[in-house]
Amino acid sequence: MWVFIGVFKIARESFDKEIELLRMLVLTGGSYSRKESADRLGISVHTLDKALRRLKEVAAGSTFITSVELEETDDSAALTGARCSRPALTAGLPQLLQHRRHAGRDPLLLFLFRAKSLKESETIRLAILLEALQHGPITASELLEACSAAMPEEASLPDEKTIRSDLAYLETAGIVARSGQRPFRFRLRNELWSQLEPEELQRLELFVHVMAGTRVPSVQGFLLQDSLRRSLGETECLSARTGFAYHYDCRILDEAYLYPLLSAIEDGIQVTFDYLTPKSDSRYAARGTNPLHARHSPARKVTLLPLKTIYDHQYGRWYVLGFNRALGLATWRMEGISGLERGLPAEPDLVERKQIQLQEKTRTSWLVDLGQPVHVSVRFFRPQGIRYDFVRERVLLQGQWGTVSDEGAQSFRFDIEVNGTREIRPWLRSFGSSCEVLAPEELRREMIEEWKEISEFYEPV
Amino acid sequence: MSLFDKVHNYELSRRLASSGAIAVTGSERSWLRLMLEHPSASSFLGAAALDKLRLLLQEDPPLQLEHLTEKARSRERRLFNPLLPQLAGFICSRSGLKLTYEVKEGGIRHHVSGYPYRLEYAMSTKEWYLLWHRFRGRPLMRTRLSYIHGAEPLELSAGEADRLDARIASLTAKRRTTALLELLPRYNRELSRILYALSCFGQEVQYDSESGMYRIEITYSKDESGYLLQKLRFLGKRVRIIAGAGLQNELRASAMKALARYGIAIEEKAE
Repeated sequence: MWVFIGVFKIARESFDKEIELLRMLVLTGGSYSRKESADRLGISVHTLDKALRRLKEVAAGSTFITSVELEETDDSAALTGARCSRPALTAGLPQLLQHRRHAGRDPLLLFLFRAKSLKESETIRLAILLEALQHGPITASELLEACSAAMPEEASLPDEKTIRSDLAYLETAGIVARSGQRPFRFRLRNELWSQLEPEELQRLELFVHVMAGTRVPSVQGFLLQDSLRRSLGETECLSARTGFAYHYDCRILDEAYLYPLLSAIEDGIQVTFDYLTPKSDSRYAARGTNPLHARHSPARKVTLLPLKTIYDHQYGRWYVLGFNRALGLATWRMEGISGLERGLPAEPDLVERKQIQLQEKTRTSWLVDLGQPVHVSVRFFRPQGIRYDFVRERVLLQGQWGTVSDEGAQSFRFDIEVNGTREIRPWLRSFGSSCEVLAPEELRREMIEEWKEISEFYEPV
Repeated sequence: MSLFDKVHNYELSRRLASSGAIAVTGSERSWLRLMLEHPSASSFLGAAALDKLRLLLQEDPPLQLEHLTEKARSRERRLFNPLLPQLAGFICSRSGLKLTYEVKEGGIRHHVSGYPYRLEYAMSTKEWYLLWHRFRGRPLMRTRLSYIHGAEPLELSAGEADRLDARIASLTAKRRTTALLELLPRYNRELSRILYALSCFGQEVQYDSESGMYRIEITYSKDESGYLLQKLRFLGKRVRIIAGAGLQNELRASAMKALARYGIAIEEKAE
């Protein structure tokens, strides 16, 4: 939405373009040329370069980037791809991401959520206010005084109204609380790190690390962890070399859409967005603000009553499900969404009716398939000559609501009612020869055909 | 609520980091409040700290997630292991250790000296593993925490941890290998799904704009080949391994054995 170009700036800052750019960089490792990348994002090469530069600045400014990393990647020529053998996005931000990935710094893309624009004067002022608040509760006029004393000479001094509006923001964000009678004193909500013993704080940091790493949504947890780490000092953090195998780095990107969608569902409000199916070559629908440069957008405009969000652990992807007049109950991938906006409220009766219908339809969806349930029956074979039955263990862990029944020393049965066979098929196939589909007949035939094709791929020449 | 909050702005954040100031938002506390409801919270934090935190966060409503459903999630078990904080502490202080643990073949090894360098939670098996460098025998070890009976600290001489870290890095690099996959062009529209499925490995995509062909180079550790094969079987006929003879043979064997389960025998062509 051209948000970083001052004159075109729109009221609400959007990060759709940055999200899609990061997704593309992480998934394809910068394999497209700049021109190809810009085309896929539906933006000009100039805008692409600007967004890359901006994101690199944000990434480099995030807390846990060391100066070594900056030196290794801080090469203005690299940003333009000038030193690359082909004009691809193989340097600059992609290089920095790769470096961070190798260093095992979790999570890779958290810096996106540090990209909100802030005027320099506001940055300085908020930093001074928050520093002053670290020392104990303080009144607005004392804060004004502290701020006036600490502002750099060249900056204009803030007035009381500005400080009060800053305090109102800090209070709404839950960063400070006001206490006592007028004149109110403002207290930093620092109880998490001021009231716990050092050892308790260490355990809390580890807990937050594990919870953010193993469940969704997690961006809030990672941001909190960053603060806890800062409070402890990096050498005291128990999470220092504790990680997760394996992570889907892109999963946190769509949390940007999750919260607005959750709140629209809660309020029974329709939403509108531009939708690009992930099967399209285009990855982002730029909305030019200058009508002279309007281009044909490949995106489809969707109006939807959102009813549910789903996170799919199999691929690490997010979905919104809802009701649309043309399609009825349907599913959209969050990664295809841009320009998400709240629309009109829906009839409460309709919301309730559709909620119940959708609940019923998703009860037996392996992921998000809303089709008819079928009975799938499978025989799993136990591993031979190994004490530990990892096949059964994996079926018990990943088989969702399916049931397991023993049928002898060699094998066991797995039965499940599931909407269609398309979504469960990859999972069954991943067991290779440890799995034989018994029913439905069609799925059995498809599996045979697919194994035949795969065996033909690798025929010895 | 927006995740893009002014207070998280990177420049402000950097200023706060340099002055030691910290600011946590209400929504971060709401997230934590929800996490405290997890059954493992008291093991991680201890009952006293958990009570304290609940009291401190009583004004913050827990994050509401009733409109979010998770699908294909593995059942969770053993998110906490009693050895976790102790081992994390050893790693954090770069101490050596003496480990007593069970081995797959049966039996227990007592007080084996080594240097722990990473704790890893496997999302697929839902188990914690300790990665450590054993001083005698095969050096790089990956031991399930549930197989560990006990650990004691072992003092290392000055500079020893640095030397071991360098050795671990070089041993790990030696175990790294690559495979080249090709996406069958008729499945190009599924590129995003395929890349998502493989995104847990280091991957680099090569795109030939003339032929419209995608090739994906996967970098993985040799110990991970089982998991990579599982992913490749998961994707089925969409991708073909074009470099990586070991994986090709494994996948072919998988296909032949799978067909045999259905009573179909494919004649091996003479090599």
